[in-house]
Amino acid sequence: MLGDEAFRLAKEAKDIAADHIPAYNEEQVRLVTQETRYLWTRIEEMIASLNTAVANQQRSGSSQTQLGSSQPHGTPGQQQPSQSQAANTQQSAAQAEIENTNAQTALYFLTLNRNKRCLLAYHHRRAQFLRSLLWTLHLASSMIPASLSLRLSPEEQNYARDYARLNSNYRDAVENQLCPSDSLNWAADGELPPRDLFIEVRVVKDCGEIVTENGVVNLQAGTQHYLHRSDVEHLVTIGYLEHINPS
Amino acid sequence: MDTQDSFTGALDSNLGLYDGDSTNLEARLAASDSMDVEPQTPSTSVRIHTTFGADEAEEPALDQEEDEEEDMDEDDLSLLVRAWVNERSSPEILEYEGATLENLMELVDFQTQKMATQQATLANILKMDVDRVKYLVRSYLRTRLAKIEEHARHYIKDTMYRERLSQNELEYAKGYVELEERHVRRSFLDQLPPHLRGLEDVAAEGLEMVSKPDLDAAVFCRVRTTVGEFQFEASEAPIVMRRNNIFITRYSIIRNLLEDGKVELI
Amino acid sequence: MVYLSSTRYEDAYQRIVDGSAHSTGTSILIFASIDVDAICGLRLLTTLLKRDSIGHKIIPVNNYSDITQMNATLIESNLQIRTLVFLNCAAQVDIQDLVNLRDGLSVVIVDSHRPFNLYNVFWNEQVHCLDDGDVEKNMGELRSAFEDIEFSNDTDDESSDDEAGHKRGSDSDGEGKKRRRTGMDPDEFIRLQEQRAKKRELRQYHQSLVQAYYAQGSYYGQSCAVSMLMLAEQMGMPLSADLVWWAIVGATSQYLLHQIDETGYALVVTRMRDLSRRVSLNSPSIPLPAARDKTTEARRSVNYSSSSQALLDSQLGYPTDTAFTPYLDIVEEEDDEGYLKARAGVSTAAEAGLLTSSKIAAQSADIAESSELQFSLLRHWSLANAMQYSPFVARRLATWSSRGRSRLDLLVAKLGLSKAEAGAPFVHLAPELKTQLFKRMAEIGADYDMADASYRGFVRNYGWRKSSLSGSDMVQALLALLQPVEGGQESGFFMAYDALSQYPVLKRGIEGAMEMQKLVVGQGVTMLERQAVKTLRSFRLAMVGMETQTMFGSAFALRQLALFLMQTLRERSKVAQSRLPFIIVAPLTEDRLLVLGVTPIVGGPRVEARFKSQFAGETRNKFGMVFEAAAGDLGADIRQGFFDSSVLEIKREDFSAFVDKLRRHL
Repeated sequence: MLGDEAFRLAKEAKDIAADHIPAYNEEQVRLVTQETRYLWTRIEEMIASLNTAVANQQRSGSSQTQLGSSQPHGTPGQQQPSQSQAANTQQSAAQAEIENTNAQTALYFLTLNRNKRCLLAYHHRRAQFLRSLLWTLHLASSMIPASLSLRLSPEEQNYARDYARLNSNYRDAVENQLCPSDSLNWAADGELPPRDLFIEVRVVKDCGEIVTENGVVNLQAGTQHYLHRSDVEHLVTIGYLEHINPS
Repeated sequence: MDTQDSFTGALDSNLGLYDGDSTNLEARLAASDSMDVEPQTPSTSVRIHTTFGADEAEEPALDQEEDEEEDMDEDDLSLLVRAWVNERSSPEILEYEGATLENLMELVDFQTQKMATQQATLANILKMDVDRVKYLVRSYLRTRLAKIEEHARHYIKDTMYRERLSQNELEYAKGYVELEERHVRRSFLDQLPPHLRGLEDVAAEGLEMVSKPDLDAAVFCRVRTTVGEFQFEASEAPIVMRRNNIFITRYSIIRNLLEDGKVELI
Repeated sequence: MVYLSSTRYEDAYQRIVDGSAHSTGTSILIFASIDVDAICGLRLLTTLLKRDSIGHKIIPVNNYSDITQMNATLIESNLQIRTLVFLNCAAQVDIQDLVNLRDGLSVVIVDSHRPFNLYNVFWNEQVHCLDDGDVEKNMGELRSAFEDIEFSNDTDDESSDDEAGHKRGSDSDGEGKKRRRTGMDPDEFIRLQEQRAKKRELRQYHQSLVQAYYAQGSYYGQSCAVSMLMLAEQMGMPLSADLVWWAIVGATSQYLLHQIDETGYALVVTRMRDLSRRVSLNSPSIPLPAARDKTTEARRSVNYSSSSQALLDSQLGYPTDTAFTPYLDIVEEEDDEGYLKARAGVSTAAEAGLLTSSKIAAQSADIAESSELQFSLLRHWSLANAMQYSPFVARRLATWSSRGRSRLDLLVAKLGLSKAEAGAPFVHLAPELKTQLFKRMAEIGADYDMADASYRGFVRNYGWRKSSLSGSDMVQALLALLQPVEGGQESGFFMAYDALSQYPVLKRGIEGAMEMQKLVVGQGVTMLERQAVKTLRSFRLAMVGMETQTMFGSAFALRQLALFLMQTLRERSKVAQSRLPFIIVAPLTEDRLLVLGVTPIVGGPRVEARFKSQFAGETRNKFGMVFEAAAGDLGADIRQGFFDSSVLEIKREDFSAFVDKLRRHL
């Protein structure tokens, strides 16, 4: 049925959860665009035929009057009525045909737009997912896990990279403008404003030595640290360090 | 004085509702969106006032109120906090607080330098302070970016909005629009028939591709300086807006007041 | 001063703080031994540090070689580090052999292992050891001896000659010495000779004293956790139930592992009793906690949900946002805490607080004293299990024999419980039965050779919805958590660390402890039945077979097994043999064995009077030196250097030769 393909796309768009995205359904997208193109061609054809039909109708309408006006002498009776009857049925058939085509064109047209909307929605939802993912990864598009990037179209991968770049350009520009000699510590983006200066963390994955604004820290696996939150927040976010809740 | 104000602010119910004249009340309730939500807990300030309609003459004239206007001479941090909250609650993007940001960051710079010469404990406190300011700045900018992303095209095209963006934000918006367009074109749009490749179609009034912010969204706002009588709904009688009153209403109604700083969103 | 007497502990903390003032980064490294006492002490220390917002780093260690390894990577290269803290390690070894003590580096040692290395205590200004009183009171002579040896030098004799010479008014230097001698008065000369002889004698005496000190064998002093608690007190930290409890757990672990004797333990109990009373009085009544869902418990992941945490927080009077929703509460087995207070550990209803606790809706999270029975983990399973898997009961009743088992049944019946009741979870028993149990035990215990079944202990209450734990319960739970797992030693360490404040982890530990008890007793009984313990002339040797699980590849578990076996045999053997030291061996890996030497705590080798200690009485464990000597003879590749010097790793193939060598040294 018309619009089924688009419907499937829309459903897939709905399947996107906070942490899960289905694979990019290139096939489905293709089907929808194909259908759209097809519909468009059909519409063009139908409009062409409509035009001719309407033109015909006009002609036959005038010829009808002609026909009617040329009645005065000649044999009245059966010939004229049957002729006009035939003409009438022909006309109504043509009319019906026109209306039919009109309706169909309208339908196709609506479907076209719907298809477009579905396509846009599908891509938009996925892009949304990508954007929020990138934000949690602190715009490190290289950090997207392989299992996830498999599910993205090459276009989407480009999108991710470009979006990351767009943001990092923005951030750099902002930093240059507001605090040229300092940083705004974008990577520390937490959900809530910092409440403690220090946090207690355990090293899950060895991080080696890191240089912080408070000196050098060696984060070996199997050790526990109590230090400035801002030094290690980013490592907590990506799971190298485990934040220990205050007890 | 501050604590007193906040107390009354929290408990103060709008005078419009709290009056002995029930017919007025019903009329109000029967009416439209703008409605006072505060519970009817009487606060000291309300008790002081008598009924609204009848004895208005006995109340201090609105322009002679004793409590001061909200201190208009706020420091940059409070300004930014207010701007931040406003930004988070409003449906449209607001003015860019460029001057405030720059001032604040200057202070941060100064404080960071000071930190270096201080003893560890004091340095820690100063650092904490700096961290929190930076958090605020980041959050403020991030909120704005998110809003820009929502209505990027519109903000670029409409001059009024355009002017509300900082230079960097404008760049971002343009880049974002470009990015989206590129993505969509390459993914499928260019495969569609030429007539369908528009990205700014208008199907009907209100059904446009270029989304605009919904200015009729509901917001909570608090009055900062007494406004006096204010027309919420055209069909309604005006309601007095006094300092620290809290209202819930359509954004569009208080939009101008917000711009003037007479109310703040919460 | 390089040892800090008990009133001066705060100096140690001050050092730590001073070190951190220089930079905002981490300047403190804490090396914590992987044992219960150290973990409790660590908890106390980190609480202090966190309160003062002082950054620090915690490294769990097992062995001195771990520390020396870290030296290169962490200490030498990082000039930011200004303080090293050692918990339950490093007292016995000259610190300078472990780490490079550069200028500005401070060391604080809070270790219960003894004897101290005298360099740490008397010599090195940069090193501060917390003294439990032994150094101050009992080591005066040692100190002079040490100082005599170290600070005086041979030229002293000469310089005294010089002085004598000077008085004579001689004016040339180098050669003058000889001249002075020859030019000396014979009386003077004799006097000087006598002086020198006396000095030499004294020196020799001092040296022998110092040697005797080191040769006495190893023992234990004040618990690390208790020391830390005292330090916290001195620092003005307001004492909370948690803090005192941690100290209690640390001290109890010493008792349970036979590191301190009855007297030492009694000392601690008295001190802790006062503190616990103080803390319990202050504990506020707290709003009842929110519903706890079983999935949280079941999830058992490393990151604990904040709801359980909030639960515990609410117990301790910290503000939480949880509200009480009674109709959602899922009632767990360990409920009706009010009745639990009538557990066997309390002899009177008043002490149990029975009259008060069940009436009041508010709970308390506090510490109560109790008389504990030597039935392990009594509260957490059935009485039958507790008795069956208690090493104490096992060895007194000889439950490996059928006769012993019937005696056990008889005892249970005499205690007034039916078989069903004995098999039911202890917490379900009616309160009368519990009080009765205790009374009856006191009455008839002697008949079953269990007159000393009870001892004084402490119990921590967590409110009426969670079961209480005794000090020994906690120790067992923590020991179970410390068992080496896939994640390596450190993960066990941190789990135990968490367990001290997170109830769900603790519960897991309890379950592990029950398993461990079963294993220990089971294994012990098997070995006794098979007579797997060889009694040789100078020691006993037990070998744990390869077929056992590697549960016994950890020192703690092995020690429990060893204690069980040792005490059982001691109580059943002739007097002469009862003093025999005990060595137990268990497989570690395919080709390595773990060897442990255990000395009976009472009736072991006597110690010289001047080296007495408050806590360890008369017992000394000489295995450290013995092992070293034997291994040296053998030239075998062994691994020592554990903080407990009586632990050793050796290759399987070297073992029998090792045993031969041991014979010579014991």
